[in-house]
Amino acid sequence: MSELPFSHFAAEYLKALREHPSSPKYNFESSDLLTKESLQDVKDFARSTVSGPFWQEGSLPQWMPGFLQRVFRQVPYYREFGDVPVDFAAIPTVDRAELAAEIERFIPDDVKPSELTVYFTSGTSGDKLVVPTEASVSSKVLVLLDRLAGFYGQTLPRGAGKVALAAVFCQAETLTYPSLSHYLGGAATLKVNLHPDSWSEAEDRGRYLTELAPEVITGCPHSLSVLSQVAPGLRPSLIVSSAVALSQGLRQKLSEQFHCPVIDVYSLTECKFIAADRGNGMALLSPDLYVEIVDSEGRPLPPGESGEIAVTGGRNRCLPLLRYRTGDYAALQFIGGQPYLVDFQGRAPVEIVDSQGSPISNLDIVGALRDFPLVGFSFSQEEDKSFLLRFCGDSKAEQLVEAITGATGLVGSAEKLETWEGKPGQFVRPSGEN
Amino acid sequence: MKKGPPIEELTRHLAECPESFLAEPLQPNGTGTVHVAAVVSDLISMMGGEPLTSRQVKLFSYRSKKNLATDRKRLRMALVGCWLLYNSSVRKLTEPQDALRSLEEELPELASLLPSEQVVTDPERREEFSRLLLRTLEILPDGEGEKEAENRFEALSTIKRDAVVRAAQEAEKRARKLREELARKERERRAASVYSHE
Repeated sequence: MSELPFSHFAAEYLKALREHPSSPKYNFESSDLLTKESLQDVKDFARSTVSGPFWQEGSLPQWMPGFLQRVFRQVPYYREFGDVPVDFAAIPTVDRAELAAEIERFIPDDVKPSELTVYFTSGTSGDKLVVPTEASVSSKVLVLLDRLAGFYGQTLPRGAGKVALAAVFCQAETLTYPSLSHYLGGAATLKVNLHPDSWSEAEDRGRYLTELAPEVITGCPHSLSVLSQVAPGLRPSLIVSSAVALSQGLRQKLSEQFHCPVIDVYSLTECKFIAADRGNGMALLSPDLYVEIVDSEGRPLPPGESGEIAVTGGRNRCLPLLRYRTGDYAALQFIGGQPYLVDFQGRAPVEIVDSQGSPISNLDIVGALRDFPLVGFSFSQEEDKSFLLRFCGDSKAEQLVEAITGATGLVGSAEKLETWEGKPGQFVRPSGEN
Repeated sequence: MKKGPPIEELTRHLAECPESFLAEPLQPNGTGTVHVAAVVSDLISMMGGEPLTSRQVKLFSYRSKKNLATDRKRLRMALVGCWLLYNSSVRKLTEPQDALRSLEEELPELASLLPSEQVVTDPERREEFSRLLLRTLEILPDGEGEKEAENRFEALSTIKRDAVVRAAQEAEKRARKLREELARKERERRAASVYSHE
């Protein structure tokens, strides 16, 4: 199975995006990696899966029995448990740390090692996970973005010679590239870093993006906030924010400035988009992911009760998730057959600034600590901009301080703790509140 | 050695194992339906023994949240063991303390090697399980001498162990290959284009 080619025109356009006089200093080449078969998988997902009905309140989706049979037969971790429990709730929940500890045991037997691709994420929650995945998972995000655009009577543009989407980041380091999408008929997508070091001239950020006029822009609250400063003239038809919660204030500001809907999306690297804020809560986006709310012991909670969000589904064939605890909290509510996550408490952003008061991405701190064997850490910043890192793990405090100072220029101190409870990576306000 | 029923009587008894003996053992978080220790205690009492002590109750409960898979297999095997011990021919020939010992000491090892449902659904495993239990209770299948019974048990047991060892070796080989492949792909940053933040 070989990757599908793009048309000569699309390839020329891609080249032009790199050679544009205001182009960023792209540091990578990428593609959607789709083959004929995986493109068909994406099209099937678009045609039938996402538009199918959700499960009824109090019952499991129709696809669940077959999915469980496959997982208990093909996935070594679950094969250990014997046969499929009759009671779904008797299947133990699993969290990111358990997944990370022996990720190869969660990969089904029918996945060939050669077909694996990999996303690695430290994420805003701090715990590193290498996510085995297949190419189609990424393009399924485009399908879900299309669905989101559909809520506003729009669709993602198709065809070569235009930029359908720009994913904007703003951090010290990330891979950046223009790319082409088969799902979008050869249209281009960009992954750009708004950090000034990624551009020859800081003003190029606004020039490049405004000229190419991406229809859809994705980012996180931090990168979108920077975008509003560097490219105020952009007029996309849709903006999607994910990674951490988007405040109502910033959402309104972005919407007014860019004259378009701004949607807060709940997403995980492990399975991509889960839900999107549609006003009365986070509406689940596709019935291929079963979402339940569980208590600290893994028992399912009834609709209306708050607890940890756990997801089940095989959107990523290389990493089927079964009662996977996300570390985020909400209650589930059905409105007209549509499940919503209400009282959602995702990863709340805590603003960190450099010595001049300019915002720094949480990911820069996470990145600086990535290679240390930490059980967990919490990072807080005082009014004088100095930081305090509390951590648990086999590392020296001075090395951690040095790493953070190297990445951010901030000065501070670190305090070692013997035990750790809660999320592995926490960014807290000086008062200690999350 | 006591003379017991024909082995076919026990394999048939296993094949007819009711759903309730294959149900989910009660987990530490309250999910599941069967209190395995209560089933064992009822069986031992029915055989004329004393109800389980609190130490023995612990042996037939989940021990740790960390080893759910191991405990689940052990407890489910104990349930099926109770069903086999409930066979009237076996019950008549067995002292309650011997029944308890076989459940406590002999079945966990078998449970670690194969899922309990196999000793109900797979004819070879049904025979192996029946022979294992009779052996630990010092009962000979009807029509078999000591040596013959031992040879038949060993033959079944060896085939299974070889298969288990082969499967474990294959699994380890694949896990190693997957780890190498993931590390290589991570180094190469082999992934499809990213369209959003997570």
